[in-house]
Amino acid sequence: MERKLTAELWDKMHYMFRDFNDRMVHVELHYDFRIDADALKTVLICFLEKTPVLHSSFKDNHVNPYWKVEDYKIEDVLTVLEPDNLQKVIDDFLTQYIPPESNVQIKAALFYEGNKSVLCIVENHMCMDGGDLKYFLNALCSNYNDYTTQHKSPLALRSGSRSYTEVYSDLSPMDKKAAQKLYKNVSSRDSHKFPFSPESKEDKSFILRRRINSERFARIRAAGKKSGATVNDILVAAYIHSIYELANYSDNEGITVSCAVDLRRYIKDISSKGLTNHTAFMQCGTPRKGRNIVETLSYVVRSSEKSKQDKFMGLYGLPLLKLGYSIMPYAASEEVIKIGYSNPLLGMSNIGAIDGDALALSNKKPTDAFLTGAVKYKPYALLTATSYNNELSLSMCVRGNEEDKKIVNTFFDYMEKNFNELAK
Amino acid sequence: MTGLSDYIDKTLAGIKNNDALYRYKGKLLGEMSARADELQMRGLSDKKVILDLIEQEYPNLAEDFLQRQKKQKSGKSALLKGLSLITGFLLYTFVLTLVYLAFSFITEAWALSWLIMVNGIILFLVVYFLKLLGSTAGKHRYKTARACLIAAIMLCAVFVFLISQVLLTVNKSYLIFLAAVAIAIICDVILAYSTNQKFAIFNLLIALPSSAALIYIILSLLELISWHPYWLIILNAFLADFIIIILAISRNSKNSEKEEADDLWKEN
Repeated sequence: MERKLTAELWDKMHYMFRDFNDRMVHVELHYDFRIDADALKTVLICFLEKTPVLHSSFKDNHVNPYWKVEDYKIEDVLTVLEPDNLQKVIDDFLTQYIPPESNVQIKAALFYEGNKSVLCIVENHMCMDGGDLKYFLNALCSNYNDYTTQHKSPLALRSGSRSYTEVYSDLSPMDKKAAQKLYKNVSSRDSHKFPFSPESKEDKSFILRRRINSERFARIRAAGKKSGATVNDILVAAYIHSIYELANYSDNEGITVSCAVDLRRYIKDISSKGLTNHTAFMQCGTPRKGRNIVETLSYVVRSSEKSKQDKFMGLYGLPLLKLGYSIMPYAASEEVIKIGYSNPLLGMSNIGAIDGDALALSNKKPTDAFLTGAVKYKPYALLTATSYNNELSLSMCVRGNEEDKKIVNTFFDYMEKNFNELAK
Repeated sequence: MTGLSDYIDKTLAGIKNNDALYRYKGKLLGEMSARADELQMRGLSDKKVILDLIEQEYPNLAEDFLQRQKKQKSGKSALLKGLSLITGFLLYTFVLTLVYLAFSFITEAWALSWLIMVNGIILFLVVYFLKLLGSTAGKHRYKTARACLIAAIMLCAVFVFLISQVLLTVNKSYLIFLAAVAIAIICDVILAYSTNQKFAIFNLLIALPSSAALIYIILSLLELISWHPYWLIILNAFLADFIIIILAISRNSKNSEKEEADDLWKEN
């Protein structure tokens, strides 16, 4: 008998985003030993069984879309290889696309190179966001460890409601009532964008990464602290200042970047919630280009402070989306929402620090850990920031060509230059 | 897998053995074994993990069994209710037939007396749907309540139409059906508001122009108003819609402003 799962609000929204990005979230973890593939298989199967959306296909029904739980084999999910050209195989794996009609929405690969392993995961953003993917990885590792050391069945993964309404569950009755009336459309209307080359059929997905070593990152953080700025503020300031330089925008134009906000800040007890998306955007902008990066940073701090004072930050627009999906059949509501929703041309996702201890397997922390967001289709751009072992990683995933790679690398050069100026 | 039957026996040890429990255990074992096979086909080979996973998927067997027993009992009482409804209907139809035959034989008005049968059955159905409306609205089964409301209104329309057309030979009796649609639309809005439906306002926005259009057509066909310029009734309904939307938006924004002001005051 066909088993169906509800397509939640954010599932449908991320499906709608198929016009803007490929919806894949990417993970790359390097270890200094050979991971036990059989143990990993056991953990992955248990996790898929506990999170049935991960082995479901999305049915784009014009009235009411849904997930259909599908049968699968572990070979559909996990690939184990000892390739000759490791880096190329990693790149090819990470830039793959999982169609929503696929029977599985997550793919993992275990690559061996001598006594080392690389664990790569690609997952459909419709199922969960970066916040829950971090939790998923931590749970994967802790369950793997318990299974391999104590033969404890790897079943410790939270499951429950995936509904967007869970963000209201721990609000006071008055706040909940107010939050459920926040119909304001807060999507970004900023038209500033990356100076990518025009779209072409020859464009291919690529992921570019730039590392800022721990020493430099520590100096940047210290400099930011002096100005009362958080790491996020510094990243946004460098981003905006670099865009002015990269795209030659006039100093008098204001630029706004849409920053991802994890709405789990409103949920006190997450233990009974399922893996899902609870991410919204917060607009952070500057009225003009600062005379230097420090001044741009001061504008960004002011902008982010103003957003943080709003006790409903990130909750705007959810009731409007719900209304859009409720009053019309799905096909019609998607078209109407597309008219009102403006996908940000400049986005940033600060996934934050990756905890090496939580990702340790057999007492061995990863030698490198990296997460990045979906491949964006031009002209959209998303800068993802993570840190591991106090080293900052900036990444951008774009469907483009060699010229676009140069543009992204130039952007990273500007980012580094601005970080260095800030850290003086 | 022996582990599965051990788990079933252990978890259900506190329940008195009977036929129902035996059948339940058999069904469970079948389901769990199929699930174990499915997991093995997917690549899970560790039997302990399979067992633990299945046990987690079937956590409260005793409670589940007692719930099923309760459901079966309420199912039986629902069946009894259904049987008594059918029996009641048959008895009612029998009495109605006797009344129809008696009346027909006494008055010899066979051409009209069939109305007793037809309208009598319609009346029964109207009462049935109204009762069902009451119970489903109370249980928040809004879609079913809506369907019952519309069914009751349209059946009433048929009842009135038959009397009007066949017995009283009133001209333009067909307009009763148009009126019934307008009444159904208005009652639907009342139902939406009385059951606190979240988007009742949309029912209202659709109801106003549609019922205005129907009322205009009925009054014009009855020559109580002229076709022109009374089509303005429909335009006025759209204007009323517009005003309702503006009021709803401004009420919504006023509420959030008021709450922010309250918060500031509390902080002070």
